[in-house]
Amino acid sequence: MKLQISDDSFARAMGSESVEFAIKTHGVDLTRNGSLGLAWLEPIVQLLNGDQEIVSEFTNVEVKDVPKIVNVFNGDPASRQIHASVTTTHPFLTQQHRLVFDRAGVQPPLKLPSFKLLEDLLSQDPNQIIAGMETSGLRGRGGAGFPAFIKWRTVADTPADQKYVVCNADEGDSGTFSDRMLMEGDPFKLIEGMIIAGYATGATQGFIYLRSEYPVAKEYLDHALEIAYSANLLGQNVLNSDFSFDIDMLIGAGAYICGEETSLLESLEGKRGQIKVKPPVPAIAGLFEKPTLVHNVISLASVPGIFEIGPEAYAQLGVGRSTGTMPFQISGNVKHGGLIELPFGPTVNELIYNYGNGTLSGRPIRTVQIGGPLGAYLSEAEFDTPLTYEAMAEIGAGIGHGGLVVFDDTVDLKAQAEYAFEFCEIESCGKCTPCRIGSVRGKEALRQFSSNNVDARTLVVVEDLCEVMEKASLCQMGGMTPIPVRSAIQKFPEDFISEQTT
Amino acid sequence: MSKKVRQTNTGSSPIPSELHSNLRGFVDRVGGLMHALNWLKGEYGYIDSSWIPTIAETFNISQAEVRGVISFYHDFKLEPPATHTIKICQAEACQSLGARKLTKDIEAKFGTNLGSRTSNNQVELEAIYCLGLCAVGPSVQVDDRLIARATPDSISLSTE
Repeated sequence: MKLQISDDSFARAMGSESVEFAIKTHGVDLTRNGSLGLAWLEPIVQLLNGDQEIVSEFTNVEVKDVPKIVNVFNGDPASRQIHASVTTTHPFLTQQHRLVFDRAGVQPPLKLPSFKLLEDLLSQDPNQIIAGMETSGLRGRGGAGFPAFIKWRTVADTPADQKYVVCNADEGDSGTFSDRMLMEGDPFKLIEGMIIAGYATGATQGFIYLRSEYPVAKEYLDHALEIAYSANLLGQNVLNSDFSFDIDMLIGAGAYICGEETSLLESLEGKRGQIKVKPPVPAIAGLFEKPTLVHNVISLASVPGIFEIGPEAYAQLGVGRSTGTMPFQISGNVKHGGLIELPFGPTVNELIYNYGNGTLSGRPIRTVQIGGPLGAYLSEAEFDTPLTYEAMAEIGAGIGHGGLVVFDDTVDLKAQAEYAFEFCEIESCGKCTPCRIGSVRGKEALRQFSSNNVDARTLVVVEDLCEVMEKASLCQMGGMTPIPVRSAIQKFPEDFISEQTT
Repeated sequence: MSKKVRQTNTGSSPIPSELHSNLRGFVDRVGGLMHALNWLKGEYGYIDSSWIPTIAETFNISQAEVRGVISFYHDFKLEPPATHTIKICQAEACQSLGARKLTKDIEAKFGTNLGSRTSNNQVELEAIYCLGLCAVGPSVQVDDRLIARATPDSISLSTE
């Protein structure tokens, strides 16, 4: 029997470190595990029989619960029954389809998993792997939803003396934490995905660009990379194959824009993270003008699963051209917030009510913002939209990084629209005028009205700014800021009551 | 702010030759300047303007370039930090759980505003945009400590 405590940013922020300390002061040692993504139950302490069988489980543990836990550990069989596992039978978890997060929270994050699959792939023809990627239908999970295999093929087919794989771990969107959870809960999954990507595209150097706001992820990745090198998973002749691959990590410095791939690559070169005009796309001329495969964490971490179950089987998951599984994240004013990996296709309603269990405040849900700060605010009528790339595009929204932020009926959509402009102002790289100036003007235009009593002419100005930003910005920062603004105005006009109509 | 105050806040400032030898190892690494500035931030909490000539010389780039990189990123600051930094998430998921009010309450509790510090240099309040704790917001970071479901009462400067 041993005790295990969840350890990721959720768990630590909910107090796991003081619980761990308190348990240790009783002379009981315990191991750390990743989080299962049932964030509202953190921190979680489990009594294990062997490595994985959960005998007892304690959720929302506080320091005052520690004596009880220690008693159960020290062997009162009856009490073990009382504290049976909650997580393993919880519908929040049992209804999921975990492919990317199959190991996270189940196996300790720094325990080397089996690399039989990787060994097998490293003996295959790289073109066959890219063909598998095409069959799988995987689309970039970072936001744009671009078919992954096109990037892979482009990098592979562009002749160069050096190619790179860059993992975009600059997960800055509010309401998203799947990258963080993967890096903290199963870093080897990401490393494996990067190695496969490197082998298939002919890249021998990988980089992880990690945002500085994720110190716990850095801690886990540092350890994982070290372990990977000593296990010959990285470095010369990966797993005794002919392929060599290295991974270095760079920590960002608090710039949201560095999640944009050209900006990220500039930053990775040690420069200002200013965006660059595309084309050329990074797959042709990226880092140091060399062919560079840029993917976010979940895209790369989806790769091992694709080959584990087979690209055809992967393509069967989901709906239409939205294939595979997506780690959705529900957050904000929600009772049960956390990570929900499912094949594409559940409706917003299913996630926020069946999984999320309504608002934390107990008030009615008024809107859900989907896809981060550049995502649309949905009206209640849109909550029955299935979460697929296509269905979301039809209502002028996007899945983005898979984050759903729930708001109750106290939300003021005018304030949210104003904030969308403000965030763009704060995070704009400043290179193009529509984004740099448009964001400031938009904020000012809405801010001059202290209450929801916006002058009709102001809304014309705001729409004008939105049009210029959408059409003339160099990247999606300015180009997509109009999405939350317009959706707020169009779907919640009562929050922008014009003087002329009152 | 005078040099003397900086030194009392952050320990002794490195002399140029020391700085040069500490940073030299980053020069050949991809993204070397970012690594170097992150290292300085970790070591001293900020990047002193007086170090810029040495940084530029070490990397064989212009001082303007070094300043350009420092000024681009929110994390790189030219002033030493206060004794404690409280970062309050201002992003949407935390807004939905009252981050705007929480910010006001924390401002009142510590007697300074977001983006400012107390006159005794003890506490600095900073805006942060997402700590990735969105499912258990509102989120606050006090120095290195993450706090979920933050309330004005749960924000304290001691570690226990």
